[in-house]
Amino acid sequence: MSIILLYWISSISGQDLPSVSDAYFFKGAIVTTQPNASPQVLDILVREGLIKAIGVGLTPPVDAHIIKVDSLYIYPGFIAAASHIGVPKPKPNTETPRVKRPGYPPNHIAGITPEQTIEKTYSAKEGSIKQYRKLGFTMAHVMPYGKMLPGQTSVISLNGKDFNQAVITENFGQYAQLSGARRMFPSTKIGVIAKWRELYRNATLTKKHTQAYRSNPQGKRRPNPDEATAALINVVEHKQPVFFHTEKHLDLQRALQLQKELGFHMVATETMQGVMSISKAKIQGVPILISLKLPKEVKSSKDSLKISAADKNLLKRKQASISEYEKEGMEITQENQAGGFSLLKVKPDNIYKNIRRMIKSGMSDQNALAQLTTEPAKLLKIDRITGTIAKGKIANLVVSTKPIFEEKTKIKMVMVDGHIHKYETKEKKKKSSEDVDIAGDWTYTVEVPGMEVGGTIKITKADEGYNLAITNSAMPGQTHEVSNITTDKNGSMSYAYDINMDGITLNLQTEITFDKDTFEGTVSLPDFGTFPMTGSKVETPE
Amino acid sequence: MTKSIYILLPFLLYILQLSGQDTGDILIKNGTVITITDGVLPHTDVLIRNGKITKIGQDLKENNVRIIDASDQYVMPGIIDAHSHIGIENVNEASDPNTANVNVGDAIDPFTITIYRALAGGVTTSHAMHGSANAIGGQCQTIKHRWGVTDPQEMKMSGAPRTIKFALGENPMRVHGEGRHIVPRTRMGVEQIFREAFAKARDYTAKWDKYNNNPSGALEPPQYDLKMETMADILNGEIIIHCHSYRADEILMLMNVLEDFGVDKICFQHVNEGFKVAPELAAFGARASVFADWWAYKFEVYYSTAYNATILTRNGVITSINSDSRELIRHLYHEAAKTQRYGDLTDNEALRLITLNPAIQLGIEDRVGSIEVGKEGDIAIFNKHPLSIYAVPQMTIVDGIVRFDIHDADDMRIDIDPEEKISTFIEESSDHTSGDRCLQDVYQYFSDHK
Amino acid sequence: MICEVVQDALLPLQTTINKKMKYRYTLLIALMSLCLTALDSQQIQKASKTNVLLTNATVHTITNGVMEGTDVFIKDGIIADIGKSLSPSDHLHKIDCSALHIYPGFMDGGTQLGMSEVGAVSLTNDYNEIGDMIPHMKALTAVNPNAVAIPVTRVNGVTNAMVVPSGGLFPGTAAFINLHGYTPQQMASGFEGIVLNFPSSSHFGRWDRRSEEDIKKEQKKAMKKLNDIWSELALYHKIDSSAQRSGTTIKSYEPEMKALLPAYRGEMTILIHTNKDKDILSALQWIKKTGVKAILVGVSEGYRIADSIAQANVPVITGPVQSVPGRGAARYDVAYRNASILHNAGVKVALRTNDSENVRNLPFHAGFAATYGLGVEEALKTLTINLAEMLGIADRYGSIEQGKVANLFVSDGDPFEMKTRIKHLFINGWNIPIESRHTLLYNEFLERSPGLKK
Repeated sequence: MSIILLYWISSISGQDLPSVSDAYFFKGAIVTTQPNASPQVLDILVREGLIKAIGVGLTPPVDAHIIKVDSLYIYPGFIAAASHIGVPKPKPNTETPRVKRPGYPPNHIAGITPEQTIEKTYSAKEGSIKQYRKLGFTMAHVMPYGKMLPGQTSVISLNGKDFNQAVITENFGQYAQLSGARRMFPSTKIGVIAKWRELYRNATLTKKHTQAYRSNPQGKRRPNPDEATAALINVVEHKQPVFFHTEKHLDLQRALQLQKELGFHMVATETMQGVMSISKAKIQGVPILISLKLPKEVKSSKDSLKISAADKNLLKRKQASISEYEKEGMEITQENQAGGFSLLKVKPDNIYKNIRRMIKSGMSDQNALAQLTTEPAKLLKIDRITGTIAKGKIANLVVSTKPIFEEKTKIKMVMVDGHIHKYETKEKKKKSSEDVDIAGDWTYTVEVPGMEVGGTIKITKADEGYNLAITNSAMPGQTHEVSNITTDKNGSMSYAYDINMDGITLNLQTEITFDKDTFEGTVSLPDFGTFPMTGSKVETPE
Repeated sequence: MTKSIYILLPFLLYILQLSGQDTGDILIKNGTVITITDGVLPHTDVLIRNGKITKIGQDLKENNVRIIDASDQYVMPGIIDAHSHIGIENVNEASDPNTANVNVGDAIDPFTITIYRALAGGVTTSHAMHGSANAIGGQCQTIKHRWGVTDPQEMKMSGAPRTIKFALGENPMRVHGEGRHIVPRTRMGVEQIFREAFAKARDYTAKWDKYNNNPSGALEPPQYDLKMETMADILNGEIIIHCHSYRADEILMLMNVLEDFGVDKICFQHVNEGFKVAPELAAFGARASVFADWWAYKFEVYYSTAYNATILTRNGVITSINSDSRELIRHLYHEAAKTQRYGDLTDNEALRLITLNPAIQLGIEDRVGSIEVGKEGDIAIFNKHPLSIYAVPQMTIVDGIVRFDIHDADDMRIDIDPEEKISTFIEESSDHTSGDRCLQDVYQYFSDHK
Repeated sequence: MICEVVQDALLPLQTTINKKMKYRYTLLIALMSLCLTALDSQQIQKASKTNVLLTNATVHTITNGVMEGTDVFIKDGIIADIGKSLSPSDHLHKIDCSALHIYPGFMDGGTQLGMSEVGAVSLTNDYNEIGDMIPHMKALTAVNPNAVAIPVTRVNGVTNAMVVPSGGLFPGTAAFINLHGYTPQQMASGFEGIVLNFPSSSHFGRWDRRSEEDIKKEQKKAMKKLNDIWSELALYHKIDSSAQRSGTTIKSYEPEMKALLPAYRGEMTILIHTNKDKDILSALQWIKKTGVKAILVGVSEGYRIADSIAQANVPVITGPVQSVPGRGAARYDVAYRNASILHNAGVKVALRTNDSENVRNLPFHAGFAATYGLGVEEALKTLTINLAEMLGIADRYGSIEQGKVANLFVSDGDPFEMKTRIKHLFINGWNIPIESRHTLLYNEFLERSPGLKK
């Protein structure tokens, strides 16, 4: 473990350079045009953001940029079937708003905002767009953040200066979760389900009355539903499917039951444990978006040394459970019930690792690729414009050094809407934190059960090491200066400081590890516990 | 070798996905059969076909059934717990004094090991209840302990009447009045929650009737209100009220309210001071589901007596003994036997408290609660008389399927959290408030009121 | 009704009772006094102390087997004689115990009995003082001799209980009491022990959200604190010993250290509370290292490491027997079997309920242990002689033997069986009426008068 090698990939996108032509000619790559096609050496001509031609031994037009891709692999651009790409994570709420009657809170405070749209929250500058593009994603189905009904989803291209440029399909579906509000209705899953029934029923009644009013308004009151009810009429009319966030088996069963009862169109989203519900999902016509998040692997050799025979059996059962999760991909794709991969919870760094774990557990490469291309394209009804490499489709391409799911494969280029993004792929030794430029402004969030606390850290270089200036959303207006900081060669930093809350002094001990423009770590509060902390560098406006 | 099969058993269950609709064929031979409704039958066989009891008699001969030798053993109906919170993920939606709109049946958890442990105490049916945070709590769910199913719907005892939780006294007063300054802070306030909800439900029904009786479509449909829908169903007699209660005065109060609104399906839960108003309960036709001996854990149960079940029974109130606890549910047969120390109930009267009587209180007495031809094949087998301290449950059968066997493996979990440590030890606190799930999911409301 | 009058009296804050109500109560009392039995039943009768001869009983001596058709003579609070056809000249009272059984009083090894009146009313709870290092807090000070739960407990044959403070590392000094008396001194049995909550690596309850790392950290911290206390105590012992030699005493006020000193010197027992397997093992190491006189209490995971406990030769007070396994993967009956597994490994076992108002269930906990492997004979010992021996009071308690304190009861059968009735009960020779709030309410309300009509 002395030297950790890490691939330092830096974007050297040529997007900002003046370009004399929008034509590109990919010459002689090993092309997989769609999941069930075998790879073959082909040339691809791209112009005006579309695939103009594909074939063997094409002649490059004179105005085309010639992209040398021989011995490289090309795939259709990937589509995230469910994600938060392009939507900034909302600032953590430090305090729950007080409402007068917790049984009847305003919808927006209770997390019921089906009228909300991605357009309102989308930011073309969001770091996640670059981050996922670098991983081969060219389009994403985007869910807003929130609770029970966070709002409507949109399909976007990972390209464009604003929402209007990026959007492919606006308000495609509704996103739903079994997440309750804190200290107000609906605060539990049973509350959320009850609220669903009521909203749905009222939307149905509103629809009925609106139709009656339209056919003859005389003598009738003008329909005047609240925003939430009005927004759900599209769901009632089956114009919008509901993307129900259902990670675990029981939540999936609950959502399926609700679907059966009310009859809306549903897509099981971010599903980690869907196998036990496949037959129900099939009968009810509910596609499943397989979560790319997997439980942590357990190294049995290390852990099983010190434990008793009885506990060894328990370890075996745990490992068996983990492998059930790894097999989900195989089973759901084999049953043709999958509609793509869901990326709401997976850490970007784990995406390919987890796909490989699923492949190792029996999912075919072809099915894996389909979940990134054709399946989400079909589900999102954009299969006529994307999902495969074919003439007339959007020029969304992924270029990799090796077959895409192999362990050492690197992504070399990603083309979105005919715009090319190139990535240098070279191996570097992991830099020590002294070398990584961590100076600058960072934001962080700490996950305390039931809430999130956040703030900013300003890191400045000092004579020896760094100085920090930390703010905390729980204590507005206060900045804590910290200078006693320990760093090590693996990019880790630890520091401690005291805060004073209502006369009680608390010592916060922080340990974080930097990885480019993000960090991960923990904050410990003696007697309270240790909480995960994540942060990212504030992007300076271009 | 056999051991390894036992270790694999949970996996097999998991893979087979034993369905809740599955029923079994079992012939229980030569047991001492405690029928509850027809005395104790020595050396008797019980035949279960397709999950139903089809024959009771001596020397029954049948093909294609699993035969269980119950010689020297006691065969009784599966035990029924009229008050528990097992098998559900949410217990309290504590956001309002009236949450008649929620239903704990929407959050069933068939994986919780508590269900298996209850089976290991002979319990085949539970009334999984909403908590007592609100005067009008959520709707409850009668479940069958079909350990091994993965579909939460299959835990439900389909066709069982709907039930709802009400709560009187300290809990709703504390959560809403003390905790948030919302009525009720007193028992006066609690009464008005019921009166208001029932009165509004009448208005609500009238509005809908008016709308439905006007087919021209000229009227705007009224707002659909799930709380009012539920309250209206109570008024229509479609839902049995199960009311958390302790003090005699509040019990009388609720009976007065119900009388005013013409509601008569009520089972008082806990009802520690029920013994003080036993004649009134009997006259109203109210039922009572009590603890064997819990008392003094809060002020409203300070004036209690463990003779409560006996006094109620002797006054003609249909009474059951419940657990309301993950621990007590494992030995309800023992809890029932305590009525023979605290009172003088006969064996059959004592066993009725955990079989036929709770079945009556849940409205399922025509299906379970006794060993009779035509009833469901829910059976508990003990090595000694179940009212003896020396009785050990041997096998528990639900719908003719063995769901607990004393020879089961140690680790009977079904769904294993892949992120958790391989085995975590959780120390139980001794005080009742932490063991009592009646207020689960409520503490978030107090977290900043310290 | 009268009990509601008592209820008002218990609420000192409620100074003004509605006059009309008062009048109503007075009237009702007057009415009810017409029915003498009803009035009688509202007060527990006084115990009486005379020399009593219990005749022709089946005597379960515990230490000398079962003796049929035997008499037991109680004189001056002591078991004065046991034998066939006794005819002492000085007996004033004779109870025919034909077809009845005599057992030594049952003893609970850990409760909050009398230290808590109403669980949820915090100001009636006296077992948990502020502080982590407060061994000088004495349970005996906070036991209410008139707690309603005490008669409720003893009518099930429970004559003695350990009352235990709880809370931090050294939450106080526990006391073993008799369940009759009007002052703590009358109730005291002579045994007191230091309570140590051994540093724990358990999760407490299902809502304990601390991470494994935090728990480990906290345990380490507590362990360091315990060891620090012990090395400071070593110094305190040195200073005190030298002061004693020179005929003086330590003048400074250090009640915590003073309270712990006898335990340090092995003159006083430490009741070490611990439950998780790994914690029990480190407690055993600590006992070995410090050489203290110790009893392990709780020990719910003793079944996982029974041999180690047996080897260390440390006795155990375990329970409650009726409790849920601490691990989801554990067999459903491990708590029922724990006592028997420990006993079979060679550990001396006693039981506790760890309860306050339902200590009366002690015989049933033992009954479950008996059923799940321990057997009746051994289970009886866990409630009697085993505990007495652990506490060093077996010369006075724990069996029916001549010269021992007359703590015993007479039953019509096996006291573990729920059907069995306790007929007579003696504590320190006092003949205790088989009455409690629960029986009194039964007598009053079984056939309520007036019934439905006014």
